[in-house]
Amino acid sequence: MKRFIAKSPRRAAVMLFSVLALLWASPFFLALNASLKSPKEYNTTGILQPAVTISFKNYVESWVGLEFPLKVMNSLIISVGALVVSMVMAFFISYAISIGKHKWRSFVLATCVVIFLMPQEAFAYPIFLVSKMVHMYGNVSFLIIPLGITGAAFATFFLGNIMSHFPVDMLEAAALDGASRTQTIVRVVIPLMMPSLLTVALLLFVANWNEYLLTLLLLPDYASQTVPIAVAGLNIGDAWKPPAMPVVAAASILGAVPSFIIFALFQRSLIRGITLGATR
Amino acid sequence: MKRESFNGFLLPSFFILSAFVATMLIWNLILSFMRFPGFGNAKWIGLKNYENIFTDQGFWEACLHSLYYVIPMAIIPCILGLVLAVAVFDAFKGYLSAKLVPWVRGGFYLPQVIPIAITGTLWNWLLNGQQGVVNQLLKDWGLAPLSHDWLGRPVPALMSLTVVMIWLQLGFAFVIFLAGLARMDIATIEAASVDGASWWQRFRYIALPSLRPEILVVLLITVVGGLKVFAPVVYVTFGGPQGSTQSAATFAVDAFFGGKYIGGGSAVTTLLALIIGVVVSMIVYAFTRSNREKKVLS
Repeated sequence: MKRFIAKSPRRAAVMLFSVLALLWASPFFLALNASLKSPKEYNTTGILQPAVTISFKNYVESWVGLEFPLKVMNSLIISVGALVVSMVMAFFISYAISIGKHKWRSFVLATCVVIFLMPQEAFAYPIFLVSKMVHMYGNVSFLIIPLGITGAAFATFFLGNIMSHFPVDMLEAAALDGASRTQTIVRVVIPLMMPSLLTVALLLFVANWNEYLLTLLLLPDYASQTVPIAVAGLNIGDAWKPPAMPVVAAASILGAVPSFIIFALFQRSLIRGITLGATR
Repeated sequence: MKRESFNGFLLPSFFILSAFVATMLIWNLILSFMRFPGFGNAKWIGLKNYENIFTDQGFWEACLHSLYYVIPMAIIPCILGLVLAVAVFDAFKGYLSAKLVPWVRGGFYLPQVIPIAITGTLWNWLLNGQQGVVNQLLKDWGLAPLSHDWLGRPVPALMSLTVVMIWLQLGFAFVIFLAGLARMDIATIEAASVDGASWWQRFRYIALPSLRPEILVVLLITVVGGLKVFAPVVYVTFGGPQGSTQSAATFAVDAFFGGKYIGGGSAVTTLLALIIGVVVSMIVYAFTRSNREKKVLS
């Protein structure tokens, strides 16, 4: 492709944008730096000076104070549980409309788009009432239901688009070989679609993990909170006394680590998944 | 292949999905017509809740804010994301630079990956009056007069939120546009440059039209995201000094759980859902219609 900028200015542009990208992540670097300082050092040197004596005391304090492993478990239960529900529902719906070419295809897809763009706040209070009615208010597992169902709309939309490109002749070949529908699905469709299924599952996992509304409203007990809410609650100070600045920083970094790990491992799949959904 | 009915596949799951959503929405709608103290009996009061919120100045301010938030949540990130994507796509050629692209992508997209509750807390921590980073930086650079109580006064709080929202959303637009650019037909671009087209012309007449589907989708998602924005507001400013940064959604949730009036919260969320539903349906309809027309014409 013909470059519109000669080499030197292009190198400058590369440097500029690389630095910009680094700057974009700077809040995390600042928090990281602050989290490694002892409160005393922090009070004297502030946020910007690089930490001189690296201490992990803040992390230990956050880990213990947040009951971090428990929060991770809560988040995991909800994220995985909901994504399984969503994937199962979405698989059936999108199979029917894309491979089965059900006549309601446009209607179903349009409905799913509208559902997943709806403000969750419109469902929040009724869901709260339901949780009270079934005496599961404050129960971590309860959240699997609303998150699983609304996630199904999102997943249906994605899978519906992907499945419409499925090679139907494979299915016919399998049918000719005498496979029942179940066998075809298990032996042919799922293996072929595995990368896409995993990508959608990943997107659902991240969305569920980062969920901020229902987890805030339905999990009042400290012990039942998810990671993001526990960290945010720290700042609001209802967990224990408003902690020192470096501790809040450490807690934020700690809370961000799981997401960061997932992102680092799956960046390509994640971004590919998002962009796939954007190009119908 | 014999046309089998897939109703058994479709209907149960789709029914559960639609029934659940419809029930919640209708329940919410009904609540908006009642006076419900959160426990005990609910009393039907017709449109009184709507009257109450329409005369509540806080409501109108929150609506105004939500409309405003569309700018930093959607408009600015889209434009900047577009420019950034084209610039990066153009500049990062060559073996070494190409290796850098995932890192640049990751850096900008990172805010979207970390839970908003955590990034919101982080920004709240950064912008905090006394020990906040921004004020410290300004002090170190000798620009002390520019420091403000970023979260404690209405206008600086709005400014802070604006910055945070752009920070959050830019990566989303950037990543999608970047991928869209990779789809472009290189031969057309090269032919255009051989014909003497300037960078601007190539951008405007080739890149932009080719990115139309991406732009539409990004705009749709981010505009709706801006209208219904909740988390950045709650976790960074908690609704701002005395409610001066509330969005429609935070106002509603505050009404629900802050002990004000539940029916009012339902009224606000019903209105919000209605507006967004209409906007989305219109855009989706327009988009699918233009697709169908294109198919007919081609």
